[in-house]
Amino acid sequence: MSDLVAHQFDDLEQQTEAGTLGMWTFLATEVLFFGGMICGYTIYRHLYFPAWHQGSLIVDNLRWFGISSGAWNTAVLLTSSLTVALGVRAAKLGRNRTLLRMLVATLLLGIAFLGIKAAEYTHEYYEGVMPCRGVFHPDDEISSNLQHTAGEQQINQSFLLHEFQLFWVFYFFMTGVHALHMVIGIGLFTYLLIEARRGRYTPQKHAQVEVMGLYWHFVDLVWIFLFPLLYLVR
Amino acid sequence: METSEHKIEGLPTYLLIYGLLMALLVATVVAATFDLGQWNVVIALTIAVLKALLVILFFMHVRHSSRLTWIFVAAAFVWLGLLLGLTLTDYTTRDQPTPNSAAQIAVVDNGGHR
Amino acid sequence: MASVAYIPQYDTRETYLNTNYSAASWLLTRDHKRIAILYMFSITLFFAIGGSAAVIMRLQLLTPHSSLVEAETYNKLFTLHGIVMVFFFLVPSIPTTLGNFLVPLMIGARDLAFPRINLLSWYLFITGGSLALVSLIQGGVDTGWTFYTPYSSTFSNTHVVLAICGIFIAGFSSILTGLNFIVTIHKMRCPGMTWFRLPLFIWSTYATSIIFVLATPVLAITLALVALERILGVGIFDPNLGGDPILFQHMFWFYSHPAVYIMILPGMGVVSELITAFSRKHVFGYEYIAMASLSIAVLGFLVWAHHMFIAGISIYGGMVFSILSFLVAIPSAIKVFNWMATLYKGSISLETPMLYALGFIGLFTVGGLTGLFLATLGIDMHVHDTYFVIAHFHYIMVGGAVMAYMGGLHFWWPKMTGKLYPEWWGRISAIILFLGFNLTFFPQFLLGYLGMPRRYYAYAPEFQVYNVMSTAGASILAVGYLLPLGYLLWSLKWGPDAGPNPFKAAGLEWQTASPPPPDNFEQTPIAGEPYNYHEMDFANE
Repeated sequence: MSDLVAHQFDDLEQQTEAGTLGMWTFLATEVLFFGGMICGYTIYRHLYFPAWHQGSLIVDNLRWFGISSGAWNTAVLLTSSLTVALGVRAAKLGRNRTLLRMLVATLLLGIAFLGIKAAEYTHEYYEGVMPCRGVFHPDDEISSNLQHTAGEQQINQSFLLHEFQLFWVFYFFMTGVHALHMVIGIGLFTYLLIEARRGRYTPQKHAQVEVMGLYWHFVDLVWIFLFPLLYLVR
Repeated sequence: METSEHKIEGLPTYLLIYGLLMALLVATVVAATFDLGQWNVVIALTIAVLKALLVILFFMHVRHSSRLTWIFVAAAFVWLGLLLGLTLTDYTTRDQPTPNSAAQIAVVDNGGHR
Repeated sequence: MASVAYIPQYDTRETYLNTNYSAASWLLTRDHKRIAILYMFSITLFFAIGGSAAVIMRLQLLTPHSSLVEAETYNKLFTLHGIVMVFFFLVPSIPTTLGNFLVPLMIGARDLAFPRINLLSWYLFITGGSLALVSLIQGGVDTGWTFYTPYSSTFSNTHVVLAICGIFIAGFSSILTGLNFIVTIHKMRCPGMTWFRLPLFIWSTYATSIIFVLATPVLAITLALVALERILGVGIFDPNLGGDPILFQHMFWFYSHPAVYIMILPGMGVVSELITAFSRKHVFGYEYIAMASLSIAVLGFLVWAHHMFIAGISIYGGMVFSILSFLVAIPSAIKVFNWMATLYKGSISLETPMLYALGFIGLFTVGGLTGLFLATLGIDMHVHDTYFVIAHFHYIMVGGAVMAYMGGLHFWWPKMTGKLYPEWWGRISAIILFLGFNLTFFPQFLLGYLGMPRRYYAYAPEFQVYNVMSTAGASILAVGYLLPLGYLLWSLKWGPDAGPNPFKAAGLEWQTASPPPPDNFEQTPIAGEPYNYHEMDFANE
């Protein structure tokens, strides 16, 4: 009994409730963490819409079977939320084999997400839009699009270029921090997988799975908003 | 105290919600192919909010959670709204946008005054 | 338990202090009381560092064109003073020392909800603090603690990124502490401890924790963006490259204004405890003070742009934030009135903690009222970035928060250490602090009103008289801080043993031994009504 309930808690129920409330509190801080980035993004989108539009078109232009990488990634993450939810359910019902399968599926989907992200970043690197000093050289096609836009909208071209670069700063920062959270999520679920293989989770003792599941769903939630904000600026 | 552990969602429910989520994803992508001016962002974000609600209520079990959990979830989004909303009260009420936006530079370059 | 005769020389019981003396048992502890002591050492060190910077600044300002330090050095000094005092002293002080120690005790719990995360918080704090100190040793930062762009992001040649990393990491320390308190207060109250029986210190700590959790992440992102700008050479906040410096200010102050409520709310909680204990009377308007704490936490999020009235925001934005700033003064005023009403017809005794509490009420009121001056658009245009602002916030931060910390430190010193501090030295130090403080900072109101700008290493000759008074006051203030350092340490070895409840105060923390055993209580207490002095004193007559 003593390894089940930590000494500061009176019983398992108090411990479980505290753990869940703690995770929700942490997720609230994460909403404000990503929210800070979204605030910066929102103000600049308000001020520099043409640049944001151009940037978004390029973000959205890596396609497989006609569907953009962003849409694929959204589908991957939504599916992973399903596998997580089914995994938590299996843990509650004591079905360890199902739990293991769902954890593996979630991990595979998480890795697939990062793989697609890597492909996107590589593609964007070759297009010359990584916003670092000295590295930011949009390729010819993009440059001529920008020139065209500047002419059309009567905007100073060098400023449009600066604003365009700013879009990419926010794109890489927001998706980068999100990807970092994804990596942490994969780490947490690897731990869950190891513990589940040891048979640690039972209907009485599955709170860890549920709490880490909440974290995973949150990472999915962030992406649900990042996708339209970054890929679909029209 | 009521906890989410005591109510377990059924498999059909999860699959239904998943189906809805994928349908909403398709809707988002399709809607973006049409040029609806300023409504594009409204539609895209509305669909995102719907997806988010489905994930929060069903996959994260907030539907069955205590009122305390609801308050924590709501508070997080309310605070984000405060950050965005109050900041925008400044940017949307300026008579003259800061002269670093490309559009303004163009006007100034052209010798116009605002 | 409290009525058993206490005979110190036969006291061989286990306390949280003597249970294990090894270094590992302290550095790897999960006991909230030990973690509180670890924090106490850390923040005292940071207070000394920040205070030293202030000493040099005040010496520089003795004469209008002193060459004690160069202009660039002076910039680094006020930046250091701000960063260290705000992020590494005031923000953590009461929550991580008194809060960590008392929250479980006051609610009848054995520890916080997440003891290991509590320890992690301390390690994050000293990691962040060390990075900030490294940036100091490498030559410092000269942007001001507010890191305004584009100076901080583009033009400054100092160690901005290093300092930002330190603050970023310390920010996570705060977030985890706030998280721990929120979950603990919700889930670990002992039987009978309903929300409206909680000590007011707990209400304040809870309100502070809300701010920790919701405001700090935005600071983290804002500073990260500045660091990104410096590293990548992009123009997030640089107007030449398309950025908006005012956006930085919006995002920065979204945290930093609520941060000032992080710094004062715990102090208000301490004062509520001290006022009732030393008037031996139930606090007047308990529910109002509790709700006022929450109101301050919430309303504090709505007023940040009053730091930006003349930065270039729209006039309508200015009006909105001005009105909201007036609103946030109301719950603070409610607290002051309730404290006064508690004193009225109370059985007042002027022990050291009470002197600090009374000082708080007076000085906080002055600071708060001058805040209303600053919230008034027309006045702010005149006094923004002058010494008026400096005087305003030092009245609240030093006259308020630090005095509350000193008061709380003295009140709970017997509980934490099992020893009594020397009462007369305590009283004298409190009076010295009060006098020194006023001499230091009141002239600064006048200086600001007369037009002396802040953050200047030199000034016009007509301001010298007040500057000399201020520096003189600072020297008295220094004595006032060094004395407690001395006698409190002295009391650890030579102070008389305290017993469980030397002040005969109400509250669960006084129902256990001093110092408490590792698990806080021999058996889980059952809570009754708070501040039941009437019952206690009636029973003892």
